[in-house]
Amino acid sequence: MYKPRLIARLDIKNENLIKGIHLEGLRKIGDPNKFAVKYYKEGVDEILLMDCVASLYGRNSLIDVIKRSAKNIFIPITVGGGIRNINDAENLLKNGADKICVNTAAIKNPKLITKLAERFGSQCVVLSIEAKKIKENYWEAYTHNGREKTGLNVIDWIKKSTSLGVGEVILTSVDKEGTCTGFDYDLCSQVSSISKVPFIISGGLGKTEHINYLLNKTYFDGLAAASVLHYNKLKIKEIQKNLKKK
Amino acid sequence: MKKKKVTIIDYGAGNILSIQRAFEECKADVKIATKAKEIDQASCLVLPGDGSFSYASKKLKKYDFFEKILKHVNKGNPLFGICLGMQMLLTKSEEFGLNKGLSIINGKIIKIKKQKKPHLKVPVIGWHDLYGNLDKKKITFNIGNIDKKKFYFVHSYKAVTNVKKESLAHYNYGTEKITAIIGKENVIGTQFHPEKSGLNGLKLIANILKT
Repeated sequence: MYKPRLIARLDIKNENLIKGIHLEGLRKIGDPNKFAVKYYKEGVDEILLMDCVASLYGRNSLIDVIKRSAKNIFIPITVGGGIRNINDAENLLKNGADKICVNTAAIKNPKLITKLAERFGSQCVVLSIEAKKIKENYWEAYTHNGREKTGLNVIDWIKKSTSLGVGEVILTSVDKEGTCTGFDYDLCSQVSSISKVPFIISGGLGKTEHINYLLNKTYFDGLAAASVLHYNKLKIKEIQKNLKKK
Repeated sequence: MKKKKVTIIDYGAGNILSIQRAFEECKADVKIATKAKEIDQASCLVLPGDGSFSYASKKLKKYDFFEKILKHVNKGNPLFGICLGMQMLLTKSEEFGLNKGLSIINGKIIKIKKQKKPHLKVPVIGWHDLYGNLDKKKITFNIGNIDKKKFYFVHSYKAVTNVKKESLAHYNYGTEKITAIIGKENVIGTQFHPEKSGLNGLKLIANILKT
């Protein structure tokens, strides 16, 4: 039996839970802590907190949110957004994060990945990738919520970053994110075939059929859900019931 | 009811806050020890740990925790190792060169072999159902019913005990059985993170505190 993890993804801006479509048009939803505790109680496997505008403004406002969450949540918490150096990471880990997630800073300075892995262990270092489809079988890694191009081929970037020490990858399809219309299945298959570390699929979940289709098509290690949970379209137990394969 | 006193060793390798919160949630009175002398009076001692074995064992030695922990255990007091803290209970590890552990339980730490199936990766990150190999009378703790309950694991190395019955539970990783709980008399260790295993983890901690 193979059971990928279910991760509740909470995107945060100014200490509010928000949600967009294609990572844009962010709409305020509520207090992230309330939602995180609710998902924990309903049996989700992990929580992912992303400060989605941190890199835009060069700051990190997540500390208070994590501190509060860590008090009442006894499952792994991954935190991302605006991590630029070892100190930023340490600060988050000290305040209750179990894993830290990097995107922009790792692209600007890939050596940061190795530094983080050496200090905290690979299992603690998650790479967030915002993947945009450019043409058939070609995806480019973006930063700043799918706004900034990097020129990096997603597949090459995953290979390179895992050799540098990344222990896990969260792969967000910018094209599918927030749409609830199903995953970018081709992207998932391609990444699955080359990823040596666990990888999480994010962006597109709308109904349980999407999960079944994905399970038939490829292997993955985790699934991140946001809109369907925040807008109460799917229950956690319902997703988990479908998220397994013999 | 009087709160059970627990001392968590903080030697710079582990998510102390999460462990502290989980024990407090289970009604323990938690103290954090950053100096070896602070564990002289401890009743139940918790040894956490994340990161590499060599880093952790050097740190423990540097701050003189090694001897104090052994003294604590030899007096018959309970010790609870978590993740890397559990691995430290064994004799040695091959992670980044050969390093010595506390040698409370005979055995070693070796790398988990990568398996062919694409979903069986190393590091292992995720939830796994436990299967007990329990000879419950051999340990002081009552760990309750853990069979087929899921717990959260993050690791690349696994424990192999010399004495088979000191491995109290395992999980299946493809064709491999990986040690999940080890124990001997007043010492217990979990490879998984009970403080990150939701209600199952909290129940386990509460059970251990009760004994």
